[in-house]
Amino acid sequence: MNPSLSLLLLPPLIAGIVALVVRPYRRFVAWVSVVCAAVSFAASVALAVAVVQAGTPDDPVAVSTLWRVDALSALLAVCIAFVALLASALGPGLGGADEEDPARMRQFRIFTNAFASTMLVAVTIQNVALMWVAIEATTITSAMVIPLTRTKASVEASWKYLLICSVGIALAFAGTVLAYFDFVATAGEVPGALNWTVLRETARVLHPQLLQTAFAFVLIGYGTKAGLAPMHTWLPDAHSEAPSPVSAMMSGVLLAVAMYAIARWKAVVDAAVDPWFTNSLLLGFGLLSVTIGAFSLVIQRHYKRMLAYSSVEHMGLVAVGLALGPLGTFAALLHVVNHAVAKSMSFLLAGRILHRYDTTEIGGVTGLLRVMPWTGSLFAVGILALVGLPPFGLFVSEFLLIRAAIVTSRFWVAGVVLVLLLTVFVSLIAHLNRMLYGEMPSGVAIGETRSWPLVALALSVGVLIVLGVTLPQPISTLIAQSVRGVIR
Amino acid sequence: MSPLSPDAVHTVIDDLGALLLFTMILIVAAGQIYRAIYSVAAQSLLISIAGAVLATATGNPDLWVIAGITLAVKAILLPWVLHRVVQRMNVRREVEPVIPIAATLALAVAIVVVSFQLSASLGPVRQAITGNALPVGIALTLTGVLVMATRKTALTQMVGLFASENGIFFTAMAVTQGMPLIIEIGVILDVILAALVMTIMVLRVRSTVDADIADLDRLRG
Repeated sequence: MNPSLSLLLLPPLIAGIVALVVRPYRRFVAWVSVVCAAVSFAASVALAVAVVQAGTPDDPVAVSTLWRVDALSALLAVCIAFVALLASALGPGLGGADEEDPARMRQFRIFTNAFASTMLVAVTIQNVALMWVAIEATTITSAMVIPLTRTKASVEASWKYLLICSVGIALAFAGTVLAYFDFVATAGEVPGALNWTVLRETARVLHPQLLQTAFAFVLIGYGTKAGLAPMHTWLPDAHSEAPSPVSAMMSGVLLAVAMYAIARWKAVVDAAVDPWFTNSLLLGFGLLSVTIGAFSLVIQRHYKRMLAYSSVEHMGLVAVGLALGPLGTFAALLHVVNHAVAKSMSFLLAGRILHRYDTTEIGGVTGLLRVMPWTGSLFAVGILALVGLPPFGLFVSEFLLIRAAIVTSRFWVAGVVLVLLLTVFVSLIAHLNRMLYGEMPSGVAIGETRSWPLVALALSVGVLIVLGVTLPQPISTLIAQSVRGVIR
Repeated sequence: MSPLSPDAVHTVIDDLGALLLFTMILIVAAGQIYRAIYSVAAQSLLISIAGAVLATATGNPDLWVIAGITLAVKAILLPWVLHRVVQRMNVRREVEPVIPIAATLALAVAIVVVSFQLSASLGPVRQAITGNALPVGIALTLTGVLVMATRKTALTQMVGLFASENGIFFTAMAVTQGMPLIIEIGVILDVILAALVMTIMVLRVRSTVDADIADLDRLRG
């Protein structure tokens, strides 16, 4: 195994085991988690650098029979490791005034680390069936940590999440099995038959109508995990009931991991069938998700649910982007990066707001700018980034998306997306206004506590601005290579 | 040299498929939670028998492992856990369908017909799979989803999930070559983990939430 890859995958695993073994919970466990997450993040960056230096999409680093890191894997790994580091550093258990029950902190550390490892495995493994196993494992590890606060609503949300995603993931497995059957029937048993590179090479001789059926299963299956409408019904509950660091990981990167699986399968199927087929399916689900996300935002009364529906909308945009050729795919992948940064930051800030106001209702949070000036301003920045205002990164990716729609002369897609983005803009800004200004509710303490997390989150803002203003050369190269990896 | 002729295997798999569909109908028709649990246990037992038959026919040792794990985990362990949960927790024994059981049965029949239609259109795959394992597997999977969608109680939804996974397993087993072992083991591990998580959650609702056990029955999927 490549050393960088080991340093990417092993630290979260070790941190999880440390948290499991140390009983009762001690504070150093959380520090071990943070350090391990930092090592993992550094390794992901090293892998990304190695991929960019290697230059071509067909020359990945860290290849073995089991693992394969190309540009797309490295891109996702950087996002996952970044958000995991943020969630680990800002999660409970590091000390401070808001210490919770030690048993819960132990549970949090065990399962968030396991959750991060499963996501990292899912994007670096090259066997589609083992990728499926890893994605199924993300459901289990994350479902264990949703009901950390043990309210009835959180247990229900977790149950709903497990059940709906288990069905979804079963359908994705059916799709995987179907493609494998065809492979065995046509090409015979070959070592690495389930590696997506091998599948993609042989896709030309497989039966097109069969691969189409398989893709439909895979898209509905992983689409359930990615929160694409109409399979998104678990998402608002799970993302709003989970502890905020977990919401940040689920919303910021878990959805993107599911989209990654779809993108890999799309590449396989496109090698056998006219891309028109996968593109229309993705366009359909994507536009429906953006529509449902946008209109649910209009009527939203809870701010964490508001962020959750915003994720449905953004995943819809990513699906639309994947359907719009090379430029659209570039926009979609850039959007994944931007969304991971902006959404994880917003969820972590929402956690601070919830802790102070003790309500999830938008109506209950007033005068935020006076109660918590820094948290309030950063939250405002997060929302402004999420609605796609310049100078933040999401403006660039959404702009490129619209341009991709026009370049591929799907003017109606561009029109529909623009109208929906406007709806999102108006409703989110209205909600934000109600939270930032107005009278402070009585009994709420004023001022910031534990200000160093704010410094970390301000760094996220910096990243968003850099992505929006300059889009550094190495990042655009990495994304361009990823695009060449999935579109030929 | 296989001790079983391909035709004989074909017939046995088809017979087992018919029995599997029968157990599925029993699950759909069950008005009491115990019956649903016993039916899903019987279904898993049939699947491990199918695994053993295919292992004998193909001489593939992986299939023996899979048959053994299926027997131990899905036919014995999980039903036993479910049974214990029902006994210990004094949950309501009725299944509480959202729509009448007769209507669900009609839907289940429709699913079976559609599954056979669908798999008839997938010509090339049928070559790779023994007998009618493909349509039976699809029917089991979809009917399991139907059970999950139309039952109110958490435990019956779990039975639906297991039945649904049984369907995928049956089809995966009956591929002429068999799925690579490591993948099947991964799949089984996931099933066990999911069951574990669900059981913990079912128990947690009872122990830590200040809610009556009747509320457990209201957990919706």
